[in-house]
Amino acid sequence: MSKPLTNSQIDKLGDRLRDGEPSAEDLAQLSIYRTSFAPALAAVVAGIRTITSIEPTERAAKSTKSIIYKLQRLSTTQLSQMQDIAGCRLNVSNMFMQVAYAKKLVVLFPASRIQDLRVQPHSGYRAIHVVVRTDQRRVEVQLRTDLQDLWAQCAESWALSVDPAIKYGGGPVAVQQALMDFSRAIQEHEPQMETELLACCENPALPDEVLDARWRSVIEREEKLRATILDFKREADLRQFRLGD
Amino acid sequence: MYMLIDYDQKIGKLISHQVFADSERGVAERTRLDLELAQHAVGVMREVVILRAVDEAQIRRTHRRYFQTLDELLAPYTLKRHASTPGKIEPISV
Repeated sequence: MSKPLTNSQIDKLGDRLRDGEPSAEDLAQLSIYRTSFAPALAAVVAGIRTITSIEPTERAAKSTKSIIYKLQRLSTTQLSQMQDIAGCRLNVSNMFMQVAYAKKLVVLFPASRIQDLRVQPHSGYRAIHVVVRTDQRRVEVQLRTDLQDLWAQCAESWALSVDPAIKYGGGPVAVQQALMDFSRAIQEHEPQMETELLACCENPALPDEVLDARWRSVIEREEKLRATILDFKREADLRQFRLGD
Repeated sequence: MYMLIDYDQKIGKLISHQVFADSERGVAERTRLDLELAQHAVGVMREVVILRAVDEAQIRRTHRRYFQTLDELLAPYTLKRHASTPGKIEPISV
């Protein structure tokens, strides 16, 4: 079994990674460091299973490329302080569940911190993140509604195929604008959807056709959102941005 | 199960993915390091990441960007999403 790295060794490794040309030895050390998150991640996932039947998808460790990009982007961040080396993601169908699970996680792991990115999005990215501290490590739990996840997947997709800076507010202005518009539209739509959901649940006596009509309007608004961003994507393709395949 | 993903950001394509059993976390991690070192030896660094879920379908859903184009990501999805919501929803054309 490999000897654990000290914080000083981890941060020196981070400085070398930041330079962008890691040696084979650096990659091996980073692998050891990432592996050290396994017990903490396992504890968090076990905890999640006690509060929900939804199985999280675990990301045992951030990719080397993403770690280097983040170290370069945030020049004062130390590798030992990076809070998303290991994490997991839970997709839920609505914001009620999103908030409920975040609160339950904090009860389960009191040394946790909630980051509500729905109110103050990061370059359009909206979600609730709970950074759990356990086993002397931080594990980031991402709680996303389906629509928030759709936005994030689109942004990630563009970041992967066009420019990684898109995730952080950079990249082509037109793409940024489209993503911000999409994010704001979802931000406006989600509370309306929750209101409809509540109304439907609280009025079970309403005739089916009324429920259908109300819910259909929610679906149609979502389809309009989706169609809008798809139109932009097609237009961008015509402008010869390299988007997707 | 674990899935080791090798994704080429420059061309926006999934190069390979390997699946490991839950009991093979160590094997998956060693394979990732071997892959990173092999890429390093030829001056390449791609997105190499290990994900874990109950099955492959879940990973393909929660990390769709590795497997789908933007057009596919944005395909109509809301009817399925709202299948358990109140009311009887008939399909709508998009």
